[in-house]
Amino acid sequence: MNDVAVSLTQAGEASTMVPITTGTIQIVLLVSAVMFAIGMVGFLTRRNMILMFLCTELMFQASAIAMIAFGRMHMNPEGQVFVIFILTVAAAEAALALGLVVLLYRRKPTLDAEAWSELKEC
Amino acid sequence: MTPSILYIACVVGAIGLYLIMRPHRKATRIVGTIAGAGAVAFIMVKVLEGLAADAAVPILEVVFGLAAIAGAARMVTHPRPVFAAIYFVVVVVSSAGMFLLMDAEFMAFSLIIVYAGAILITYLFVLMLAQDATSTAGEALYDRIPREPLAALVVGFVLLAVLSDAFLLVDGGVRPDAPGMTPSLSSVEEDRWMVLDGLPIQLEETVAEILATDSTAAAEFTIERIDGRAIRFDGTHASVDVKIADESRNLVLPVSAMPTNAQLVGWSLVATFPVSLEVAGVILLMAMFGAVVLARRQIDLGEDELRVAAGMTPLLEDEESEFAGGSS
Repeated sequence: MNDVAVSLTQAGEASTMVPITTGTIQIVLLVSAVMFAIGMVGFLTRRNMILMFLCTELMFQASAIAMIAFGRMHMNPEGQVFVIFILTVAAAEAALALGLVVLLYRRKPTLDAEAWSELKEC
Repeated sequence: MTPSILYIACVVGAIGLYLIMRPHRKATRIVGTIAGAGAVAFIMVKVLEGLAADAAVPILEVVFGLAAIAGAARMVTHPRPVFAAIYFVVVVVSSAGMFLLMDAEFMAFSLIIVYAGAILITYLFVLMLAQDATSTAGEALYDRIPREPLAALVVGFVLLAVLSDAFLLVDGGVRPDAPGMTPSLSSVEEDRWMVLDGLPIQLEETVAEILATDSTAAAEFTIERIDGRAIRFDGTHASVDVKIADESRNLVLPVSAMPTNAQLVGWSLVATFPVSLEVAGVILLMAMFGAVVLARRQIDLGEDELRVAAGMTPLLEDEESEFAGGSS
């Protein structure tokens, strides 16, 4: 067996992979936490049913950023795969929730979530 | 950075968001914007101060992050739903920018296509479909007045304080340079080469490309596999044994032949999480069925007709049943 190492192209060039820096990941995680908190505040304060669901999308978005950041830190693609599943759930949620909103809008012609407050206990 | 500074910044940010939320007062909105942006920028500066002096400042991450936070804050406070949806596009685009900076190119572009292209358009269509008849000039009263803003801000910003405390302060925060936090580069490279090992057609194309630059080599070759593995990785170089006209040669693969981000994601999806992929497909199918069933026009039955449909005897006589809504 002729075991001559043939380097026809520039084999052995320096890899471009570098670990993420501490500053980058901390900034990105801070942004994700702030976005999640804002999305939660929006979900609680908004009265418009469509915008309440849009705020849950904002929270999905924030967790997706955190997952990509941690996936980058551990340098494996599984964080991104989880974001694909988040996208799936977000799309399914958008389709179902908006269908429900249209249905509710046919019953009472308003988007105000308070219109359905007789469902609550007190 | 001490915890008390972080908590004070959270409180200032909450006050800022509260001031932005108050309807139709431009002056308080400006004060709130300054307070909120100041709190976020202050924490970012504190985070960057805590780093080593020679560390590079992640300017682009800061810019995209501030844009995303500003878009999010405006989205939850804007009185017009359509504008809120458009501010959400700002959030999506800035987070796609952050994905790009974190080497997640495939997810960045699919995020823009799926979120900004598909989901947001669905939201806009439903917003237009369910346009409120009682609203004047596009601003409904319930969109202008927030519900329980103080309680919601307390809940949201206590959560923020806990989260940012865990990310930034506990054990010095999330530190990739701490021992054991990140895998060694050679093990990551080995994982990636093993992905290429699982893609035989691409491996063959790569080898053919390398051999094409060598005029002395024949075009016909076979890749030798030992225990099913073609690629051997010695810690720095990946090489593959190729048999050309009864002569074995050891080809060193160039770094550019390493699988790209999209290939890694696809491999992880089908090789590591195949069941989850199937479940995701089922979820999408069921969501489609559900949306079709929900959005179908509902038939309104009168109270008495519902009784008949449930197999009970109607309460009203035939001549009265027209008043119960619906025809006999």
